[in-house]
Amino acid sequence: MASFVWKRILLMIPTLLGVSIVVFLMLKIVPGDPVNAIVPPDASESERALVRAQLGLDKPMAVQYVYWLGNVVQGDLGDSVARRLPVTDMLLPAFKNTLLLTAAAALASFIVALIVGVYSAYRPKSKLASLFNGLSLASIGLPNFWAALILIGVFSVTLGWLPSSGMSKVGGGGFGDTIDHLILPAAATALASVGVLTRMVRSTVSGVLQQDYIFALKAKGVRPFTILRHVLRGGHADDPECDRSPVRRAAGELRTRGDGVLLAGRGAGHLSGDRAARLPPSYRPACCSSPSPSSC
Amino acid sequence: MSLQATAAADPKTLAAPAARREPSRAAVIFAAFARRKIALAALIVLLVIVFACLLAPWIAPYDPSAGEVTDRLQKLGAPGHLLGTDEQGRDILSRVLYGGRLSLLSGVLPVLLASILGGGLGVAAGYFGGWTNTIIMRALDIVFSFPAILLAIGISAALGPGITNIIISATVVFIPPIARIAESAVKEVRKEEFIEAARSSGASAVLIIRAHILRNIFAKVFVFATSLIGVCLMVASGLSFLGLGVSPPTPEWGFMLNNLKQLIFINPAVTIVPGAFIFLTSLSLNLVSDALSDALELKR
Repeated sequence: MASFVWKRILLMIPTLLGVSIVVFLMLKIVPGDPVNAIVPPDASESERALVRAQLGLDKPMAVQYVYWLGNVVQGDLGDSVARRLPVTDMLLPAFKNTLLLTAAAALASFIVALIVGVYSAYRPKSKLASLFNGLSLASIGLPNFWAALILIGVFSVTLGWLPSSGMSKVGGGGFGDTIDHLILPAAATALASVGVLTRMVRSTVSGVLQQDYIFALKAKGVRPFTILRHVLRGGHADDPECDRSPVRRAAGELRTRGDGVLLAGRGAGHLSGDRAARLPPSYRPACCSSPSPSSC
Repeated sequence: MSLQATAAADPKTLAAPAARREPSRAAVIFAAFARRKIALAALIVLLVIVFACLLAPWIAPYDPSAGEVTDRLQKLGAPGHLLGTDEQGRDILSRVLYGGRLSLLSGVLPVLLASILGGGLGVAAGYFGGWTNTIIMRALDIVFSFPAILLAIGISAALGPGITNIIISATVVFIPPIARIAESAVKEVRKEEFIEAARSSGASAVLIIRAHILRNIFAKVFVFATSLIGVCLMVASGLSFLGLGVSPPTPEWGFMLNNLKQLIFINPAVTIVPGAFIFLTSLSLNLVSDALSDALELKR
């Protein structure tokens, strides 16, 4: 187990280096010269060159990359050119808010997905299950920037129940106030990601339900609730039965990863985000490649 | 002996009663597909949307970019303006019809391009294996480890706004997943004996890939690609929504939504119209692709 983990971590290094190069190049390609943000518009060419040299922008690209990487691995993302503040100081408050939104949305969609997904797997032929299937597909097809507009239209404009923007009232900022401002964005994010999660839960659970040991448990007369606990514990590495539809799962992964606010899927933890990031190259069905929803 | 005899007799018996011929594979798949009423309905909705947008110049009631000041901010279902008008008095229905052409194009074209490029890379990686595989798949892993939207935004921002650049960035985003599907499908087919037979009888790699590999992986990649069109439509219109797409007078669903969102406090019903079309199209695509994958029995 430990050696497996180490191997994965070692394999991540070249990928991470590649990612860092792409990120670095992307920052270089984006139009706009940082020097222009610092010097006044009428600065002479020699003044510009001076600033450029100060920032190290006159060095070759490869050298700049090595400096940048060296600082990044020490946790120094550099200073903002425009505001003269360390970038980390600017990112952290925003990250806190992102985390709050992510966690709320992920929690909501995870709870719904678990209940709906398990139900659909237990009663795949029922009317309700096909309704849920349709709703999941609707959720997958739901652009969350549009869902947000509808929620604002209904709950802020028409009903006037919840605020349409901001994180707190002017002067306000208590816990209840934050929750009021959290509900709509979290709901928009959760709505767009719950479908993917539901389908993952459903296909995972229905794979587990076909296992021999579940049959054995039923034959033994174990109570359904106890069986459910076993089902949720899951954990069937390399079980082909579990591979219901790699095609859809992949589409789902992508949808989760591509989620507009980049949040819900990521936050929804081991069922989606992290798995997508390390899908093995042979495209092993995501649900089988590791102990399944064990912490459900 | 007897096998040969039946084989020889077969063509005649088959040719005589033409009515008893086996239904073609396409017909079987379509019958399985059509058994799901909702998928059939989704297909019809999709076709209506596509054709309505294609025929926009002939069926749109108004010029999409010419507004009438006296008709500003009409509500949903107003006489003469079925879907209302925007803040400049432009007819929303006409704009949706014209806008759909760009939106649908930016949903389909990236997936098509990515299928060709990603499919090609995947086939090469899967067929040749070894170092070729490692290099191609690791390189794609780098792209794949970015969240799709973030990567698309980054590329679009780097290239500058415009629908062409949206198509390019969406293509880049969709290459790795398609390549992965193609690669794993090729690896499976490659183990088959008829590939071994073809190789030992001296067939070149190009011939084997063309005649055996592509034919056997097509369905899988195709269904996967159809399931991506809805996602791609959302990514592309999302980029437009952020202002990375078309420039003002041109209608496009995502950008229309961006433009109309300022009216949410005045005219909420009209505001959500363009998004409703994105949603409807994407939902129909998902339903069709879902049923198609079942019809082709890719579940197993």
